[in-house]
Amino acid sequence: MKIMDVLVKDAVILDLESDTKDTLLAEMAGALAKVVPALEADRLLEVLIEREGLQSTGIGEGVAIPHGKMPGLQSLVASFARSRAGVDFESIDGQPTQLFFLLVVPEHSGGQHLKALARISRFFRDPAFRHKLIEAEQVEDIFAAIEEEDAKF
Amino acid sequence: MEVNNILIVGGGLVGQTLADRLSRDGHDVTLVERDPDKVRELSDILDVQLVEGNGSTAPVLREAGVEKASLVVAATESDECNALVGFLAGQVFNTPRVVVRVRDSGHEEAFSLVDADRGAEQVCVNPDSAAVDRIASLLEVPGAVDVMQFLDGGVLVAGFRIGQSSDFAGLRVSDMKLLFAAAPTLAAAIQRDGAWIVPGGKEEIRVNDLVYFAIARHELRDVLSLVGVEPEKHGRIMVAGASSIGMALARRLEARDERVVLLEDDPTAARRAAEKLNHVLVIRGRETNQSLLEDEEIENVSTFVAVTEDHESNLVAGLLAKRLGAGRSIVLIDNPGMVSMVGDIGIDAIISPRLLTIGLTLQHIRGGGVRSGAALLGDEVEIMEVEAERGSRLASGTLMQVGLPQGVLVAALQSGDELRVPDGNDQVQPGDRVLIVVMTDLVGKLTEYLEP
Repeated sequence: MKIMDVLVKDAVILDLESDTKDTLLAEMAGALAKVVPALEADRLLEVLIEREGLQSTGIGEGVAIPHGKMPGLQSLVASFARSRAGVDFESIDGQPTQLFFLLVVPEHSGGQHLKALARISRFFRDPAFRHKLIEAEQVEDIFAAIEEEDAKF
Repeated sequence: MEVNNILIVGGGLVGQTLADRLSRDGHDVTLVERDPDKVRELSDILDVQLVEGNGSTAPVLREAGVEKASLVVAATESDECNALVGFLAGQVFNTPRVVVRVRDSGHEEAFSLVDADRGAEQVCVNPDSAAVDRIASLLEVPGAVDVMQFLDGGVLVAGFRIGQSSDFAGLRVSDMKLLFAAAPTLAAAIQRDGAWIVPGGKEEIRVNDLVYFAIARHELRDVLSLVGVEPEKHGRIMVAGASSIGMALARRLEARDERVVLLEDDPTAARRAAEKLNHVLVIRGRETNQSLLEDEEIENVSTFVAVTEDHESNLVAGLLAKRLGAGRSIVLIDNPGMVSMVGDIGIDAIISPRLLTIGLTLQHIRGGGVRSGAALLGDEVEIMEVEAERGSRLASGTLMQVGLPQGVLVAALQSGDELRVPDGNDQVQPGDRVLIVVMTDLVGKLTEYLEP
């Protein structure tokens, strides 16, 4: 699965306004729901917050991958957002988080969502990839970085 | 740590490995062996007290210090000899704990009858039934090189070779928490270039690693899909060897309605097997005979299991079956050198009764709440299921405060009905059960955390 195939380009946020975990999730959920009619922003936010309750999706090194399952959704969708200042996302290394990749999957997606999560986690393990996202001037730079990574595997 | 006085009878592979392991854990170990040449050989490699003589006689046991032993292990090749050692130790010398290696289930039963009215703790360890259990577990998990079950079967520990296309390749161990937030599924141990690692969160999973995952049973399918295991082709299972293991396995598979073919070269053994089994096709012939395997359509066999008494023949047959198109080869083999080559030589899984026996024996020897389940990965990593004891350091605070040594991993925590992977903020309560992965050279140190 290519990440660019599931990324909802119009939901990408280059500079997040929020400075807390919950408002940030709401901002991302809102942006995605605006573009994907099958998603309802409030419900999506609840699902994401519930998932964060199990264990923060902040995987360290400035990266978080919030995700959740939504009934009614037909196929997997994703969005990306960046906070230049960084937000306390309760990540495993305790550092502020700047890069957020949101993944929303249909309720019965089998192992598909895990494969997508694994793939995107692996992308973010590459320091060069993270650097490109931090330095991106416009959304096109972000798409280019993801496309490049997609082509590697 | 509580130092035990341990007496082991039998200096074969099992007795020798146990003696070495337990002395390194810090116990006082005496090993009895009747063959003088063997004793000389052992004196060069082991740092334990050696006594030459027949350990199933009272004078030799006395000379070896049976009267002050808190534990006697009978691990010779002979069931009768082991039963006699167990009887003498338990009934005559009142040894508090006795572990007896017995392969024949009849002996096992006889021993349990003797045991009935005694206060001493007497345990039979049966390598053959352990091997059958292990093979049956392997058949449940396609693609695995090894499978063990813990916490009443709720957690499987299964080893997989990570291929180029596996979704795990390039992930960090800590990423598994992202993928399996609600379930106790994680990478418990990694074998890389022959060396073992009990991984921290930052360890990266690499192509060609042999990764042992602890897997919540209901997550098995997802883990298989991420490993990249193809769904197993459904076909016949071929068992080579009507040995006691082969027969017990065939019976168990027959009861599961599997289609089974049993190969046996010896005409008498083959005839007996055919009489005892109802739905198993018994074929006379040698497992290393290529044209026989071809005639029996080996290419349609989903799993080939070689469990004859001739371990080298098992290896050859396993390789041959695989080359002729069998889906998967599982072979019984005890040679420690060969055991460590699993996966490198085209065999999918190796069953080592020696390692199984040692694991089972250790679980009865370890103090500090280790009661159910202990297993070995190769010779270097041990997995144990521990019930946390009141007053132990393990149950004295959060895991971060407890500060277990590096190389020790708490893979799963069962507290009542709840099963999860604990983090540093979790506290283990007395009575909770935990699954601990530990490098064997740290077991002595770990024990200090487990004892009250």
